Order: sequence, then C-alpha cells, then structure tokens
Amino acid sequence: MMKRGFRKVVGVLLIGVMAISMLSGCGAKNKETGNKSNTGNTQVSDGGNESGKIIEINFPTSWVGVSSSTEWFNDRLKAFNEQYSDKYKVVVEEIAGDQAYVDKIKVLYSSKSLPDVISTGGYNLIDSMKDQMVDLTPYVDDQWKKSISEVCWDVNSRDGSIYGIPYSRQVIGYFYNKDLFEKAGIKEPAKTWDEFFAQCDKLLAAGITPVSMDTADSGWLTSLLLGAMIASDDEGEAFMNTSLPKNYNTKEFIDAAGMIQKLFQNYTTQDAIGGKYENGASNFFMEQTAIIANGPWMISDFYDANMVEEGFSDKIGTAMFPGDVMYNSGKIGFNIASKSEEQLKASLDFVKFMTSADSQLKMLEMTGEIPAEINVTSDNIYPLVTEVIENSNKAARNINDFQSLWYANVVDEISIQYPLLAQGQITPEEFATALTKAAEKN
Amino acid sequence: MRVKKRMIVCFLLPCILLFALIYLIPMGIVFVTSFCEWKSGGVFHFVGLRNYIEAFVNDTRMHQALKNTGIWALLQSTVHVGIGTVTAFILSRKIKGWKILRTIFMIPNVISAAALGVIFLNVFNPKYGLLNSMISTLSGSTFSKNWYFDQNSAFLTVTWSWLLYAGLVMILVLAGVMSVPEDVLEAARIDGASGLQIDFKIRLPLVRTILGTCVIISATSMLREFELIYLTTNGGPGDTTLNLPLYLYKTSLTDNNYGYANMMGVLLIILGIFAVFAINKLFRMSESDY
Repeated sequence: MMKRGFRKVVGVLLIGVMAISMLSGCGAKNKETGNKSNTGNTQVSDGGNESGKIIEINFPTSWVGVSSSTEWFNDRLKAFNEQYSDKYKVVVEEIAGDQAYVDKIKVLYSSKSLPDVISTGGYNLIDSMKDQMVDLTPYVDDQWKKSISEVCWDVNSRDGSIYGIPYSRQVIGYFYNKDLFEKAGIKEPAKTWDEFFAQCDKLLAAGITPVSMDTADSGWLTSLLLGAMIASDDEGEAFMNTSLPKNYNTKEFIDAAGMIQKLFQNYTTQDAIGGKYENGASNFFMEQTAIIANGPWMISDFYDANMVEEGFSDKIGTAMFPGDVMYNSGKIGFNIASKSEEQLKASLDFVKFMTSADSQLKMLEMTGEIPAEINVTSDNIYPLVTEVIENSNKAARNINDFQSLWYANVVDEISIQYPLLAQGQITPEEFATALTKAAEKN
Repeated sequence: MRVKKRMIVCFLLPCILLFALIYLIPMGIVFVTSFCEWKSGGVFHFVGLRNYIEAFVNDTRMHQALKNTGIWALLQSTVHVGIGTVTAFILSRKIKGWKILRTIFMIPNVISAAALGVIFLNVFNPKYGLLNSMISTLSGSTFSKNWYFDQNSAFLTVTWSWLLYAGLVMILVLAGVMSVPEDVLEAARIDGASGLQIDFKIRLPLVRTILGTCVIISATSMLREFELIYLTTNGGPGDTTLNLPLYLYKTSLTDNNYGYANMMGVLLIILGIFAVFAINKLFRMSESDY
C-alpha cells in the first residue's frame, strides 16, 4: 500500500516537473532584458541603475557583420549607453541582411508586436505598417524640422504626419574606372544614353566589360540604372518620384526596360543574371567592369586594402547618370512603434541620439553616407564623397529610389523577371505587365 | 488497471497540451482564415471559397507552383527512392570499402541546406562554376551556361539539388535488407535462386514497408522544400522553379496576403495527408511479412 502511494507521489511529481520544464522552456522570457523576440543574436546593452528603474526598448538591426554601418552603429550605441546608463537599456537584436530584417519586421507586424524602434536601411515599411507606428509629428519641433533637408521629411511623411526620423539622404550616381575609360579612349562620362551605349561599345572593343549588373535581391545595381533610364524625360522623372505606382505599362518604363535588356545581353558579365550585388561589386573592385551604379557608402570600400588593390580609389571617378539624373532624395529613417508612454519617451531619446548632428557627422566620416541635416559637413571625408555631393547639387533631374517608392512585392517581382528579360524570354512590354500585375495585388 | 490508465493519460497530458498549443490551435486558425480575406493591417472578413476558387481558376502562378510541387514529389518518391534502394542493395553485398561508401553517400544529408545552396550556386555559376569549367576542359572550347537562371535548365538544375542525394533512403533500406533473416535467404539459395533473384524476389518484397516509409519521407519532404529553392533561384526565372511552400512564403511575407497564404497552407496539409494515405495503401504498410 505504502509502495503504491510512493509511486503515485513520484508519478505526480514527475508529471509536474515535465509540464513545468516544457512550458517554461517554451515561454522563456529573459527577465533581465524583457526581450520579446528570441530569434537571432541578442546583445543587451545596459548600464548602471541609479534611479531604480531602467526603461528597456527593443531595437532589431541589420547593422551587423559586414554591413558598412556596423562600426558606426556600435560606436553610437556605446556613446548612447554611456550617456543614458542610468535611464535606458537598449535590447539589440542582430539580423544579418536587409531583406531578412524586413521579413522579420513583417512577421512582427502581423502579430502586432513591432519592436520599439525600427530602421530598415531604406526599405519603405511606412505605407504598410503606419497603423502600428507612432505618429511622430507632435515630437518634431520647428527647429528640428528646419535643420533637416525637406526631401528627407517628405519621404518619411504620409498625409502630413511624420512616421520616420531621417538621418541620411540617398544620393546616387555611378562610379567609373578612369583607367579603363582611358584604355577605351573615353574622355568623360556620357551625357546621353545614346552616348552611354556608344561608350559601352568602345569599352567592349577594348576588351573591357562595361557595366556591373545583378538580378538577385531586387537587382539593386540594375534597378538603379533602370530608374535613371526611366527618368530621362519629365514623365519619367515624375514616375520616379511617385509613391507606390500601380501602372508600369508606360512608354518611358518600357523604353527603359528595353535598354536594360540590351545592357544584359551585350554589356555585362556572365554572372550578372542571377548574381547578387556582391558579385557586381566584386567585378568592379577587380577591374573586370568599368561602371557601377551605387551610392557614396560604397566609397569606403575603394580605400579598403582588404577589398581592392592599393591605389584603386585614385582610378575611380564619379558621374551623374546621362541626362544629368541623380538619385537625390530622403531615405526612410527611424520608425517608432512603442506601446507605452515611458517606452515612447525612451525610444524618442534613442532616435534623437542616433539622428543627432553628431551621429550624422560620424556616419558621414565613417561610412560616407550623406547626412539628412543640411549643415553637417566635414573636412575629414573621402574626396569622392565630396564629388558625389557636388554632382547631386548640379543634377538637372532628381529622383527617388525604387526601394523607397515601389511596393515590396514589385521589388521582389523585379528580381524574378530580370533573368527572363535578360535572356529575351519576355519582352520589355511583358516585363512591365508583370510588375503592373504584382502592384495590383496590393 | 484503472489507475494505470489514469497515469498514462497524466503522462501524456503535457505533450497533448503542447501539441494542441503549438500545432492544433494554429492549424485551426490557418483553416478558418483560409476562408477569409486577411491582408496587411490585421482586419479580416469571411469570403467563403473565394481564395480556393481564385487559386484553382485564375492564379496561373499557383498552377505552376502546384505542378512543380507535384513533379518534384513524384520524382523524389520514384527516382530518389530508386537510387537509394539500388545503392543499398549494392552495399548490402558488402563489397570492398562498403562502409566508406556508405559514409560518403550520407555526406550531403548532413550538410545544412544553407551551405548546400551556396555550394550549388558556386558549382553552377556561369562565370567561374565548376561544371562549366569541366565541360570547357573536356570539350576544349569555352562553354558558358547559366544553369540556374536559364529558363530551359533551371528546373532540372534545382531538381539536381536533392534528387541524387538519397543517403537517408539508402541507410533505411540497407538496415532493412541486412535484417532479412538468414534462414530465408539460405532456403532460397538451396532452392537454386541466383543473387539477383534473391534480391528481387526475396529481399525487395521483404523491405516493402521500409520502402513505403522512404517514399512517404521523400514525397512529403517535397511538400515542405523551401531553403534550397529560396537560396538558389528564389522561384525564378519567372516562376519556373516556384513551389507551393515558396509561393506561400512570398504571398504571406511579400504580398502580406495572409488569408490566401493560409489557403495554400491548408492545401499543403491536405496534399500531405493524401500522400501519406495513398502511399500507405500502395505499400500495404499495415501488413506484416514475418
């Protein structure tokens, strides 16, 4: 009898232990950090506690690993922690890659658990998520507003309400290899697209592959060329400044798609179709291509002895796209989705710190990204960055980039349609129709 | 006896609760919301069979995804299982070095999908890929083909990523073949059966249920294949290599159309259950041979 009773007790205890351990395993919550998300590497930054209550905010970021902004972010985070050690604790979740970051934020959005602070690195999530984001208009005073370029507020605002705090401007043209241009007998960058293609022919004749292109992950390099080609006339320029366009069956878009097809078929590397940005960049670094479209954040790589040969930066020139077109727009900034007043205050202080003039100056010096604040300048920057800024001041047509403007599924559709366009399996018209169909799904 | 039953229920309870929390309730939500229009923003409303009708009538991309998923499941349950089985029968003869060969054949199964994706991207790279280089060397002239992104070769190239690597099937069948009782084989030999006859008429029928298990594992693995396609072609070019799980992912995370994505989830569950039942029936899995 005694034995049976003992067995019963042991059995019940075992069940209890099993249930508690399984459930506590699933629902494990870091009491110290209050971290809501358990995926990815989580790094907790905190400081001492003088007042007895430290407010915690969550900030997932893709500024990790090989991202050109990693060093800047770590520097700023450390400085923030030192300044606010007695008030705030920032829980940083590391997510490698912009696309993975955006996907993660979408999942959190669908479960109504967006983190306190979001920074997508340029991807536009405002239109699809603004219902869960904080309208920041009441927190931005006139002085703050005036200090930052108007185009930066435009891209971060919807219907007069501010949903993002800008920290950087998108200024994009293209880089070219002066040595390779000289070898092909080209004196200066092309003024028109006809001249651009003529220069591509000259480069080919000299045994040089003209342009770095890609198709994977939104085909960043290729799509920058596409956008610049679209903006060759007034209608195209207007299109490249229209948020969330639904119709791509326009003459300027189809003409541009035709030019992209020609570039793919004649003037780029074999690995462009299916290739990623890294392939295109690597071809340019190894002087296997003469032209690459990209922003000034790439410039620091031109000086990095681990990536390029010594003296590579001296060979590089900067140019506007033909027709004096430049990407010159605001970049999607920091969004806030805090749910309580005290977390909102903490998030605002964090975002203010990260977007302060001091932080923007550091970003300019460390990464080459152009500050959103007009008065932030430095003598301590790469000369090529200054050239890019000067180009942007001279541009006749200023446009916004496709990742900020177009629907996310259109951006995804581009990368699966490019290979077909490149290999002539669809026409430019069919390419435009495919993007229109994707846009109509929204 | 009653106490014992109660104890069994008590011990099972945590698992049942967890199963309900992690699988059953979400599956119920997926099923219910598959009849709803539920897009980004969280608001959803009942639309009846509209998602299903749209999928089967108008959505050409869905047709392609279903077709690709079906072809891959079929290839996997025939060619893939066939390769694994033949290899197992060869190794069961304990040829010289069979243990090393068994280990080598298993290697692709222990490499993560992410690493395999990168390896294949490099092998099939049009510029510096191993395959193009080998063909160039053998033919003596420059050969260049963009295997993953040419519409004519993309499907077969993606299929290559898993079709030939039947290590798991080989291990399972080998274990089955090795455990066929020696007295049965000896009786066959005394009756004058040749090696091939023993393989085809004795050993193969006796590993029928193991083959059935392998076919179930292989066919259903294609209903959840995602990483390798995502990492190599992302379903492209166009929708040449799109399958149902990848389309579900894109519909959910890129289009933010959760209702439609959940409809695909329901289809996948139905396809999985159908495949398991059909294969069970085909291989008479409930019948024992011993």
